[in-house]
Amino acid sequence: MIEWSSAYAQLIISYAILGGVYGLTALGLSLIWGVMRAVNWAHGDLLMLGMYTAYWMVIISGVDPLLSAIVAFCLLGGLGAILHLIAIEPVIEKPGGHEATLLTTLGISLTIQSIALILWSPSPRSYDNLYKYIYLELAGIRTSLAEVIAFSLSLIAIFSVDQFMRRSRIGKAIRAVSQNPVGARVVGIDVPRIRLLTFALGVGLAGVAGVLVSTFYPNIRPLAGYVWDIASYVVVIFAGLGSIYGVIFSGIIIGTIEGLGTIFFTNAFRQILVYFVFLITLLVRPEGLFGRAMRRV
Amino acid sequence: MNRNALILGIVLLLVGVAIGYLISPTGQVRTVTETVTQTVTAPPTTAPPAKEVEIKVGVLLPLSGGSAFDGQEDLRGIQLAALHINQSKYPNIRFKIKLVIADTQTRQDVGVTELRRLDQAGVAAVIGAYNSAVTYPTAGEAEKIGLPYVVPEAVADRITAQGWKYVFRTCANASKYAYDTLWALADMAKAKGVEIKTVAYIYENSDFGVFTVEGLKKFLNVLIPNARAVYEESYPAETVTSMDDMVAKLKAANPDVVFHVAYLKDAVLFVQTMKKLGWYPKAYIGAGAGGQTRVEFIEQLGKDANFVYTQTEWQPDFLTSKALAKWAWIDEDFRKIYGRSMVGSSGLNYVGTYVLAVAIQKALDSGADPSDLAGFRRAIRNALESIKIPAGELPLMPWGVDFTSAPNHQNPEAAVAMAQILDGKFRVVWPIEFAPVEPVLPAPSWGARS
Repeated sequence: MIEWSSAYAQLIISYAILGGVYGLTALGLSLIWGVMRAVNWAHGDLLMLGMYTAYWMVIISGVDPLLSAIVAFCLLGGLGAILHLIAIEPVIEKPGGHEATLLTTLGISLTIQSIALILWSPSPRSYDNLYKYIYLELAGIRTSLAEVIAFSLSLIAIFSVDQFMRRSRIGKAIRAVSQNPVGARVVGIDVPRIRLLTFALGVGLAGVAGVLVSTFYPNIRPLAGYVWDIASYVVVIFAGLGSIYGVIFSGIIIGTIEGLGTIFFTNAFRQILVYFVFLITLLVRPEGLFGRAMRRV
Repeated sequence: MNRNALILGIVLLLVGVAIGYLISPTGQVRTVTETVTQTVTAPPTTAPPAKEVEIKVGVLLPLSGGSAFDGQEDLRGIQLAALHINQSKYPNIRFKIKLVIADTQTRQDVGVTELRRLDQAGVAAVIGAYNSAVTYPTAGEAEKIGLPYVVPEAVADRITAQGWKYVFRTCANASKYAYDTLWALADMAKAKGVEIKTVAYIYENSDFGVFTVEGLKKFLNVLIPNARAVYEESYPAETVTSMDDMVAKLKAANPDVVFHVAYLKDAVLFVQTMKKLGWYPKAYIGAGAGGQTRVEFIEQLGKDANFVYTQTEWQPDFLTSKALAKWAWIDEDFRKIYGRSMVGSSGLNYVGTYVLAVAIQKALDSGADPSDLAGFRRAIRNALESIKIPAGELPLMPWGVDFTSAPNHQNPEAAVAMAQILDGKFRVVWPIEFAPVEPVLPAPSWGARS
């Protein structure tokens, strides 16, 4: 009995930590969705590119994978800006533009996957790093340093983004555009430029999430983004569109629900439980758990 | 003038012969010589003279999608077999193969559509399709069409349990995989004096995992009478993000043996999680020859892969046995092209292609006309039913093929070996006659490893 209770505590903690990482994977998506009302269907694929950035930097130059998070942020941010100019900006202000972004980003998603398959083959990869092999233990509950770092950096990233939104001029402009794009334009904010910055920031954050996930998840491959995509969408809708702090809380909640699902049911059933709770939440509170925070962004 | 021309002609002929002799690759000459002496299915003396016939063979594999990685390894085996056949490395096969390759995208609907496309493309037969879940409906479609379909790797029992006339499986089915796993475990435990009382089943939840575990459950107490299952769980391999729950529960249940039917990514994650949570059973066995049998499994886990058992259809260790050393040239060719040895799946697909080619040659020898596609396909089917290649004469594998005594077209001779990863290499530990090393059982705990 003692062993089983310890096992249950272990997996609730493990899944709560994983949920925190879900929050980070969802942050970029939430930002783009909240500010631009655009669904970035390629979010998981851009996250996958972050995983490969870490992989290649470690393999080629042997740098610490956490340093590659900075590189991934810059590289993916730049790529995000280019993709925005190609696929988002030309359609977003047209009639039905927000729906059109769904299709244009779907096209980006397929293109990225195909190029990645050609360049890197479908073979899964992983790389060695110290963090993966350092284990922390408290009261019999074990976890790896890599997961703790990913969880902690998720919190830091979310706090940083929130502060950026509140305190910087660009952040305030982003919030203004998210609240009222027409009003923002009237007061002189360059709305297309803000959209560009937001998309670049969101994609850059997806890159950082990809790097952090790759430190403990041994599945770097062209289709790896799909797994994290699903979690990200659930987290964003669960949190409420555009909620910054909401994503971390809803990520942890979803992770914990998954953990509970594995206790009472099975691993295969945990996602069903998540979707069930998700559905009930939307019925009771359609704006998401932290919907009010969205309006403030 | 004419005399001068004659002398010049003779000189040129001699020079040509001399140059041809000098530049001909010695390896090729040696290989052909060996193959002539080893091949039992050499054409009868009454066979028609060799002629340049090209036969289209359809290849149906997951070259994209979730199983793309595995499909591409399979394709390597098929392409190498076709290359060897076209290079006349097998004198009993005297036609050229033209492969027509189709991608199932790891999807059943796409697989069926692509099979129909292969039919339209005029292929004489099809080989594929790796995933049991895709092989089953595509084989059913081939049966409707009347298209011979050779299954070299998909293991779900139901593929051949239907009694389909046009579907032939050269490899073992899931039940046989399960039986051989337990047989190997029982043998090794007895030899090492280790008692197996409790086992656990962890498996990916598609046909591959489900059927393999069904077989394990069926035969557990046949081969290990006192063992009982204390834990069982399946999971979706494609979307699994964590295996902490399963390992935490296993740690609490503490079975002696864990059977894990997995693909590569989930197998790596599982071992990493076992290390993270500080638990390892007496034996962790990759059942069904899935992800644990990939060379990438060792590449990704490094020394943490040591002591993992995996079922395996083929390992380079086989070539150290007297019976199979004569096939080393095949693996040498594979290494020249891909820089490493074959693995089980490329080996199985090589063999499947060879068997199909032997059947096509038989159909040609029987006088079937390739331009009458329906009739030619029937002739190939009939030839497949008459295939009997004894162990030792089938390339690479320690077993033979005998469809003459298999009403369901399930090759009764196919078997599976057991390997253990020792010092970062797959070493065959069972059956004993192909095992150059002894197994390490029980495996040391994480803390006891250097």
